[in-house]
Amino acid sequence: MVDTLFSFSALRRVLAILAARAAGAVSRRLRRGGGTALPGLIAESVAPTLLGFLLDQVPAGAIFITGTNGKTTTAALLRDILNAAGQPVLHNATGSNLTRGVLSMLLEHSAWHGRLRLAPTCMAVLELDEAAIVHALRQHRPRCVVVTNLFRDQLDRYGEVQTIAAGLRTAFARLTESTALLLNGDDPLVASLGEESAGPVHYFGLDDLRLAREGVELAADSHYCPRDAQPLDYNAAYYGHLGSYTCNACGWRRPERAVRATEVDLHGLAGADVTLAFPEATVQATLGVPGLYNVYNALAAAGAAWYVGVKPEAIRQGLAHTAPAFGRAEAVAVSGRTAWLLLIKNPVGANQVLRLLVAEEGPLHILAILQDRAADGHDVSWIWDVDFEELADATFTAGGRRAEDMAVRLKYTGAAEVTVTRPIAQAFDEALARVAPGGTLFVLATYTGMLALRSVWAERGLVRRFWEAEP
Amino acid sequence: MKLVIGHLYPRLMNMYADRGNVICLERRCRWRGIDVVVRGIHPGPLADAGDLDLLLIGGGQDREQLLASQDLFESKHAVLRSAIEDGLVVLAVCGGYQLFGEFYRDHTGAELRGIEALPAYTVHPGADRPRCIGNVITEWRGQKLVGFENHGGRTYLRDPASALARVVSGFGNNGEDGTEGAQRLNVYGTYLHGSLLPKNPAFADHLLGRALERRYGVTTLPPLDDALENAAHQRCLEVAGG
Ligand SMILES: [Zn+2]
Repeated sequence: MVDTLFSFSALRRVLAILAARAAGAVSRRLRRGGGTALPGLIAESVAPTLLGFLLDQVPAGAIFITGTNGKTTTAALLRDILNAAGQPVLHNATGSNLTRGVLSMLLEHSAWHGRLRLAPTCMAVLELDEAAIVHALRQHRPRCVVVTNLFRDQLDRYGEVQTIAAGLRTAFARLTESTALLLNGDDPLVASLGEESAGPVHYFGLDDLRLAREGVELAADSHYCPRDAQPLDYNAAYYGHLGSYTCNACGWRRPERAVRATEVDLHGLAGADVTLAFPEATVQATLGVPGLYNVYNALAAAGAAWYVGVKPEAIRQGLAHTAPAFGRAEAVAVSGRTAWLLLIKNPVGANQVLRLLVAEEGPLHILAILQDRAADGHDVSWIWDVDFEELADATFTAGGRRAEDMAVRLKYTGAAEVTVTRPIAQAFDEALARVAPGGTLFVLATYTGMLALRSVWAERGLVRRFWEAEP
Repeated sequence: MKLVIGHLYPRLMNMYADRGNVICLERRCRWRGIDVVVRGIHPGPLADAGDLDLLLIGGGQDREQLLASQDLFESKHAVLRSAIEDGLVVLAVCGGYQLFGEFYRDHTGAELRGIEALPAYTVHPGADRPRCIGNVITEWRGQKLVGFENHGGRTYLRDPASALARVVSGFGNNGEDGTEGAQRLNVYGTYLHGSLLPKNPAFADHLLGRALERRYGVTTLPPLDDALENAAHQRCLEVAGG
C-alpha cells in the first residue's frame, strides 16, 4: 500500500467508498434486495482496483471458490468448517458472486478511508462466478482457488465450457507459488486446469464404485481428453462427466487425489454419511446437505480447509453444522403440508436434484418454475436436456415467465397432467392445494424463480428474507 | 406404419438441447399410433441410410463440431448424400446446419468442409465480432416459427430462394439479408433451437408428413391436442416481441 491518503488513487478510493455507502443506505431503506450488489457496483465504477486493495488487507488471506455448480454451498460448508475450527471468516453469504457483490460485502467492514476492520486472524471465503474470478485474480493473489466443476451452463451468458476453461487456464498460469489450486480431480476439464500453475495443486474426488452409473449421461460435456480430444474411457461415471477416466490414446488420466470420499451413503433429502480420507487421517462425516453433488461440495470445502491447516477431526465437526444454502434445499411447513424449494439452473445440476426426488416415497407433486431473466439465462432450451422422464408419474404444475415452455417439456415426458399458472405465488398456492394434507410439494425453480418464491414465503412469514438469512 | 429417426452425433452435437426435437417427433408419432425407432448415429462407418426416414443433427462446441465434420466427411458423406437425393428428411440445427452446407470458415480462416446438402456456406466474421444471440421469430409458409439462436458464424445462401424462412425479429442466417435457414429437397437447415419442434408443432408435423409421404404415400396426419404447444409458441412470440 504505497499510496497515501492524499494521493489521487486514495482520493478516488474514498470517493468510491462514500458513494457506495450512500447507495447502500438508500437501497436498504427502499428495501430493494437488501442492497447486496449496488454499493459494490458503484464503488467499482469509481475505483476499479478497490477490490484488490481491500482483499490485500485480510489478515489470513482469501480463498476463492468458482465452478459451474456448488459454489454457494461449498463456500457455506467451508465457512462452517473454519468457524468450527475457531477461525473468523468473512464470506459473501447472499450468493452475489460477481466482484461487485464481494465488494459490497467488504465495504461493510471498511472504514471510510478504506482500512478493513477485521479480527486479526480473519480469513475471506469468497464465491466468484467463472468470469468474475478472472477479474478478481488480476487484483489479488488468494491463498487458494477452489474449482468445483465445469458443466454446461447458461450458454447465452457464459458461452461454451471450453471457452470458460481457457479463461481460467490463462488466469491460473499467471499465478505465483503463493496461490494453491484445489481442483475436482474427477472432472477431466477441471483437472487439466492445474497443469501450468506455479503453485501447489491438489485434487479431490470420489472413490465409491457403488455409486457409479452406466456411462456418461447425455447432458455431460467434456468427456474428451483435454490433450488430444479423444473420447475418455470411464471405469466409473458418477454424474455428468465426473468419474474415473483414462485417455487410451495418450495415457492422460484422473490425477491422484489428496482428499477423497471413499464411502458414501446417501439418505435422500436428509443428507448423507461420508467417509473422508485425508493423507493423514480418515474420518466419518455426516452431511446435512443432500445428494451426490453435495458430497462433491463437501469434498471441495474439506479440501480447502485441509490445505489451510484445519485438522480432519475439526473438518468432520464443521461439516455437520451446515444446512443447505438458501433456496438450494429449503423446506417450510405451510397449510399442514411441507414445501421443499430446490434450485435448478442447468442440466447436470437439475438431473442431480431429480435423482433426490426419485428416491422419495409416495406420489410426487411438483411445481416447476422456469424463468428467463438474465440471471436464469434467456435461453430456456436446456430443460430439454434434463431427464424429467424420470418423474413422469408426478403431478405437475408449471409456473414462472416461461411456464408454457416448461409445461410442454413436462407433457413430452408422457406426464398425464400438467397445469400452467404463470404468476409464481398463485402457481404455488394451486400446486399446494393439489397436495393432500400431510403431503409434500417439491418446487424446482430457476434462480430468479427461487428468489421470487422465497420473497412470497418471506411476506407470509415462512422464511426470513435472503439478506437476513445468514448471520 | 413405422418411422426410423436417426439422431446424428447425439453426444458430439448436443449443445442446445436439440434432443428436444427428437423427443418431440417420437412422441407425436406414438400419440398417433405410428411406431418409432430412434437410432443414435455415432462416429464411425455408416453402411447404409436407406432405412432412415428422418435424420436430426444439432449444434456442438467448436471442438466437437470439428470431430463431427471430419467423421461426416470420412465415413458418411456418400451414404448420406445418396439418401438425401432419395428424399431423406433432415433437420439440421445450428452447427449441424453449418455442416450440411458447403463449408464453415472459422475466425482464423481455416475451413471445415460441409457435405453440400444445402446451397449455403458459413463464415465466422472474427473473434471480436459479437455472436448472434437471442429470441428469433421467422415467417415460414404464412405462419411463424419461434426459437432461440446463438451462433458466431454467418451463413449466406447461394440462392435467396432457398431460404427456409424470413426473419421477423432476430438475426437469422447472417443478420443482414433477412433470411433464416435453408431448404433443398427434404433437407431443412436452421439456427432456431429452443427446442424448435416442441413449440412449433406445425413444423414438426410438416417434417413427419414429408417422411410419411416418402415412405408410405400418406399425406394427412390425424390432429393432436396442441393447446400447450400453441401456448408456448404464443408465449415465445410475446417474449421475443419485447
Ligand atoms: Zn489423450
